[in-house]
Amino acid sequence: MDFRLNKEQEAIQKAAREFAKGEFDKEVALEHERTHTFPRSIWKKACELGFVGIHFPEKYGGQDYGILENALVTEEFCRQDSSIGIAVTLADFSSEIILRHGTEEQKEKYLLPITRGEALSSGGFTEPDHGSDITFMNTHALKDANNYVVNGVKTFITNGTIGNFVIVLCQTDPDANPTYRGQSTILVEKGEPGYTQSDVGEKMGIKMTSTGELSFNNVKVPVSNLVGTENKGFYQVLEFFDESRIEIAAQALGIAQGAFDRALAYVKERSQFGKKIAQFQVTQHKLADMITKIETARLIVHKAGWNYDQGVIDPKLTSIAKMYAGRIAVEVADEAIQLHGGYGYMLEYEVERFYRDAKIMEIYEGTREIQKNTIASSLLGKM
Amino acid sequence: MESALNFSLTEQQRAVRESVRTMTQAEIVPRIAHLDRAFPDVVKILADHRMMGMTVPQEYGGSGKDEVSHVLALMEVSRESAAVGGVLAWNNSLYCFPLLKCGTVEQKRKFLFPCATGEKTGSFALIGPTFSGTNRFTALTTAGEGLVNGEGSFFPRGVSFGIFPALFQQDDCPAALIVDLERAEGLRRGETLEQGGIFFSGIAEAAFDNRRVEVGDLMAGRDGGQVLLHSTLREAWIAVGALAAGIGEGSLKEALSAVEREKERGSISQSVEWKLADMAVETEAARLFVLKAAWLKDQGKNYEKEAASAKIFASGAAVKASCESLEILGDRNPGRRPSMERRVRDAEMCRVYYGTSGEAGFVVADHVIGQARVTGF
Repeated sequence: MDFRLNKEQEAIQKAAREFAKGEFDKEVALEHERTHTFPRSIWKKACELGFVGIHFPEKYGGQDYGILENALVTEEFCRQDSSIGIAVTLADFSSEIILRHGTEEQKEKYLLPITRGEALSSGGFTEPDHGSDITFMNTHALKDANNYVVNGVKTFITNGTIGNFVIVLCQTDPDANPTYRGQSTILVEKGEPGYTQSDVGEKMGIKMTSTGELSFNNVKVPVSNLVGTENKGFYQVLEFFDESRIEIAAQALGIAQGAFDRALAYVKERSQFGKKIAQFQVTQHKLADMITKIETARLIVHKAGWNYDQGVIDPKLTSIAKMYAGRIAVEVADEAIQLHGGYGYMLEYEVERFYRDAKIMEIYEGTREIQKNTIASSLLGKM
Repeated sequence: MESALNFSLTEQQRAVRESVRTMTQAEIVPRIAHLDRAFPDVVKILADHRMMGMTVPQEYGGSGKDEVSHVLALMEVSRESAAVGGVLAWNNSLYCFPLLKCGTVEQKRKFLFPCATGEKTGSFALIGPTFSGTNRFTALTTAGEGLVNGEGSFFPRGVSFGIFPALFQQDDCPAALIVDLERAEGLRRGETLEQGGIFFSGIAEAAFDNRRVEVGDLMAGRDGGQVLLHSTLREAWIAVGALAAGIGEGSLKEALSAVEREKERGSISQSVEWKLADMAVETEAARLFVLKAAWLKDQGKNYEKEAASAKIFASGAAVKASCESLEILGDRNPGRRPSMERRVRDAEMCRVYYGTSGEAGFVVADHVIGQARVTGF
């Protein structure tokens, strides 16, 4: 047993922290927040320095590190700025499905632009009628000679309006029983005739992340756009969740730590009734509770990342990390606002933005309730 | 050694966990209903398995294990009985630990050896982590011989040795005295107070009337009393965290077996499933926190903040898990309810004793505020 990071991991953590401190300027963040725009130049720099796709092999522009190292970068980015951190760390969202299941040609064609900062990726799973339940897809991809013809609508898609390609979970065999054995993941590139990307509208948080609705109207893509095995799409996506949820848990952890850092700095400056509010016991106990939550979450997130990198897939542990870190991010950010009092309610003081960004942690990539179902299923030994 | 994040146990740690698990099932579980009357038997079982001085070097009668092994053993035992875990905690963490840390070679031979082997038992006489008792120590010689007078000190009933906090008569400087409780002279035993949980720890009052303290019974000299008390408490928090983590795991296990039949029929309700999931999340977190605190101690690093956090978090999680589990048991399995009710009481004790979780919270807050001053975010 060893709770230390190794020297390389410490160096990665430090590099990510310094990059974020240097580049995630508060005024720039507030401007993107107001204009709802993706922080493009920061993303490009993060790619240049190898932070995006750090867990990809070197030949696809990655650094050959694991999910744990990706989680360390993610935590530091989101700690410095929740909204920029989320937007940048989701730049390669879902491209792991290509990494794990794609052909050599697909990897070279689609992963290199991701790590070079030339393309953004999306995963199209959720549909207007169902998000938690992905066992049946209304979006169909039916074979026509050498093509798949995709029809349907996907919603709440990360990088929706700015993504260069999307991996769409489609029903390829509508008659399969059970239905999820008839699903496949099909890659659709931006600009294909019949494929339109639009914005879902105003959100509570993560305003720098584009969230889109994608509609497919007789979109024809070659059969070579199938990612992985036909009719195994459902399983490939579930497997992807086992790594993506660790990244989301790391985002949540970073948000909690960032909100805590700001609250701590504030209580040491702010005076009421003739003393610093940090000197009041009630403040001290709030801080103790907050840091205890953060550190337990960090232990679980690191364990989940480490476990994945050992080649062990443990959906229970992944869901524990995602659910717990998501929950404490909301709780800690909430308390951080409380410690700031009225100022905490102001955009300028950032913690309200961290709070709004934290809430999505309990919703996307499997709601809190779905995580609980996964944990319970694994405890009870049924799936 | 190159550091690297690694959550696996070593072969030796795994072996400790397995042997304690086997021992618990074979020798503790069958006696569980009558354990409160069986203190000497329990000590004998634990001594036979060389668990009474787990982290004490072999030259002083212990088994020379690391702290991670110690907490693994505490968690394993406490899955079934936190009372038995409590016996280990007070002898190992509240007695052997301070002697090992601050005792002279002679004190270790005389007082540590018999308790590390489990021939006898000892504990720190704590009630609240303060020198709030009225014990006054009058030193007669510079070597440490003297007389102690006072009352209001409590120690776990049944132990042979106690380390008692006292204040030097002349200047209120904190002192720590080792008292052989089997020697009656100058010692009055007051009433025994029963506790709600961890029931071996019914505590008895000790009052002293001109009790003679021999040369060599004074620990840590004139200036070390407060340090001794504080470091012992930090050590105890890891142990309490381990007891609580064990209670949480035991509660989850009990709840899972209560719903076994519904599971087979596929009729288990989602609200129950979610309770199980919540318990699993918090139990996993508690376990990791306790292990980290123990690991830090093994590394010779400061573990104060983690020990305090482990106690706060694990005991809170144990209270929640045991209450939820009791509700799940409900009328599904009334026969198992007494053992779950015991877990609820034991869990609550983990929040209260060896310094309440509130007090531990100050330690965490001090670290956070102090630490931030250094790093200056």
